[in-house]
Amino acid sequence: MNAPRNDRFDLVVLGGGPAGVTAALRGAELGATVALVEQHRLGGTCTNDGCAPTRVLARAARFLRDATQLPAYGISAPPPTLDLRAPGGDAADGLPPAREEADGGTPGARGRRRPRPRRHRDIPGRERGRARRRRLLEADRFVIACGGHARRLDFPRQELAMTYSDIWQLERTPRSVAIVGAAATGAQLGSIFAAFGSHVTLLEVAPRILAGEDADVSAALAGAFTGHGIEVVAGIGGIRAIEQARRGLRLTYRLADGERELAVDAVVLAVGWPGNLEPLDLPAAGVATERGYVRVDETLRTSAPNIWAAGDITGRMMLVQSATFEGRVAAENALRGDGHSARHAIVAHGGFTDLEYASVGLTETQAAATGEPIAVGVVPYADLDRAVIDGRTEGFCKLVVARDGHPDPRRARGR
Amino acid sequence: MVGEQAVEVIQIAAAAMAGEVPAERLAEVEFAYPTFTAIVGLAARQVVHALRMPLDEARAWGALGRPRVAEWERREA
Repeated sequence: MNAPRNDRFDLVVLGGGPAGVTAALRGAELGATVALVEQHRLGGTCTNDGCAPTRVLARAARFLRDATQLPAYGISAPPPTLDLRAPGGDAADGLPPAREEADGGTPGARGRRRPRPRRHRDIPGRERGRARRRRLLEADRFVIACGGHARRLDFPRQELAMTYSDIWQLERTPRSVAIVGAAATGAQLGSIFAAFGSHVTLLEVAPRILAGEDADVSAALAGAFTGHGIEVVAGIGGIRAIEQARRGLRLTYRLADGERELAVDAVVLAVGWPGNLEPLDLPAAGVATERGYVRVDETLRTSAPNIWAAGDITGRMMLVQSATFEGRVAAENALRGDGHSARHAIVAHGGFTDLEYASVGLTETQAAATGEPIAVGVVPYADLDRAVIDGRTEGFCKLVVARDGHPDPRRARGR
Repeated sequence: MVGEQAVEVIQIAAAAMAGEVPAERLAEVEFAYPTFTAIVGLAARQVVHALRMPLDEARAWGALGRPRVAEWERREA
């Protein structure tokens, strides 16, 4: 009953997040037999406890914020209240991808050819009672798309802090919360908690929040956050410790002129997203890693000739849209040997903070550093009629182009 | 960019980059009114304004503050 069952496929994809699901579906489109292996639920971090549920919380925050505008439009209503147990529940359950595939077997059951396998991996099956079913999958080629996880820092009592994956356990809004890390994840969580009524302190090692964004964007967000009562502390020297206090937690962090203490109900670490390497015996497969991720070349091939990788586990670009792109390219390169580049050329991204921010391409500083003469246009939202109508006049749009008008200064030279 | 619906609005800039649409062309698009996305067209027109000036003059403009354009203006002066 528990004996291994042998199955052979053209392609085995490890990981059922955006990269893995896309790779599996693309493989099936190409006519390959594909097995998709997922340890938990299809959808990965994105759907199950990542950006999609967070977007649900951001939506709740948005409703709370919009409610403050109702009187300006002649609408009277009692102030809304929040039940933190509700958002992320029913709303998140309706999110893609199609979960029926999880129980419906592997995508890509179509048969094309079944060449003699050159490699195989022994993959543990699901726990069923005391018995662990094992199933042996064999394939010519593999795509590793096992994602990542929230990083924890090494300081005394760090286990008292939550990470991104823990906030779904909260049943009520903490009165005060310190968020360590003010890149995209930390900034978004801080904005949401502030809208929910928490007193938020954002702590960031970099000299400014959202350090990867245009400096003007960082400054505008910092100003907006401060306006919402968020305390923004950039340029800290790190966290010294967390201690259990009589009521809540005491967080000690370093500044250039000494240490500071914060008394808070909760601490959230948003300090990085290393790859899920531990469950995989990658050295046995000849797959090299570096800095916590699977090493790949520009075609997403790993150091093992028959294994490709895609998504967060490559450490290249921690975005769903980029993981999806990589999953598609990895499957095509694995199955067709196309050798297509997976260079991330145009990546639109942003955060559902209050104010929202977004960007694509180079920042003004990066564009200037290319040496290509540039032109910059900046329009405040206050100049936009729709923003005035909607009572949302904060913000600006900055457009940076090469002086020959090309939208991407990196590619303007030589036109 | 920063502001209402920024994550939606940025998509038009990404599409313009993918299509290698020059700023002059983007500035001529008749975006629906009143929309947030139209701010990309306003920014493009401001860029075109700067591009039509010699570099030194554009820098001087920058020092004076960037010119403002009304949304319903059809063309640069």
